[in-house]
Amino acid sequence: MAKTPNKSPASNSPTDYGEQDENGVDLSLIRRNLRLSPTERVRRAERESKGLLHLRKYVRRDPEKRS
Amino acid sequence: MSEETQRSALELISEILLSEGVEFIVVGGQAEWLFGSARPTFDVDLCYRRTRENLRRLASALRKLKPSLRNAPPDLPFQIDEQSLALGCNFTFDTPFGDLDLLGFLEPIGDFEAISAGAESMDLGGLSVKVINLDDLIRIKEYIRRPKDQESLFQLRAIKKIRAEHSD
Repeated sequence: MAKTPNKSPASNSPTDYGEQDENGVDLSLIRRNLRLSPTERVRRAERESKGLLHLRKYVRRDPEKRS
Repeated sequence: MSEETQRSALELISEILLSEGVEFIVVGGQAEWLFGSARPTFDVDLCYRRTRENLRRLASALRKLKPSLRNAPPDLPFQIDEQSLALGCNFTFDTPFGDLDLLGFLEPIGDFEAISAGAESMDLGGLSVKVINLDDLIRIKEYIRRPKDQESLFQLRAIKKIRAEHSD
């Protein structure tokens, strides 16, 4: 599994950080999820997806109506 | 102790289906989550068995779920019974728990029987649910190849590699 080093001053790539595979998948997120039970994985992912949906709706609203 | 205490839509829907004895397999984005994917998804995809008896049970469970056909005019009549379900194959519903897609057939693998052959059982909040095999899910994503499936594929292939590391 390819691991990229943490970004250092010598690195030129803006995406050269953390533990990623060759496709840019953040393996640390998957490893974190695999430490949870399947039930916990689904509950956590659903909570995070709902948060993302909420954020998308908020961003699409008229800026003057955001509060 | 986990911080995740709120029951998921998948648990709530599965509980109702299992209470009626419906035979189904978790597929799609929820299966990705069960395998550990971090990709966001917003609906529950289930493959259901299309035997007469299972359609009857499914109709009974759906009446409890009170779904409506997604994006259909509100006055479009849709009676939830065994016969209506037999006339269709893949259905997209809105339910009080969220979007629910019921799939009778998944290319390129096939129907419930074909997917069930490799499915694994998982504990989901005390319920025993069948989940599509990781390799079968990868095959489906490779076949469909929409942009979001490409993202799923990257996640699923990474999960497969990590699983292999742990089995060495």
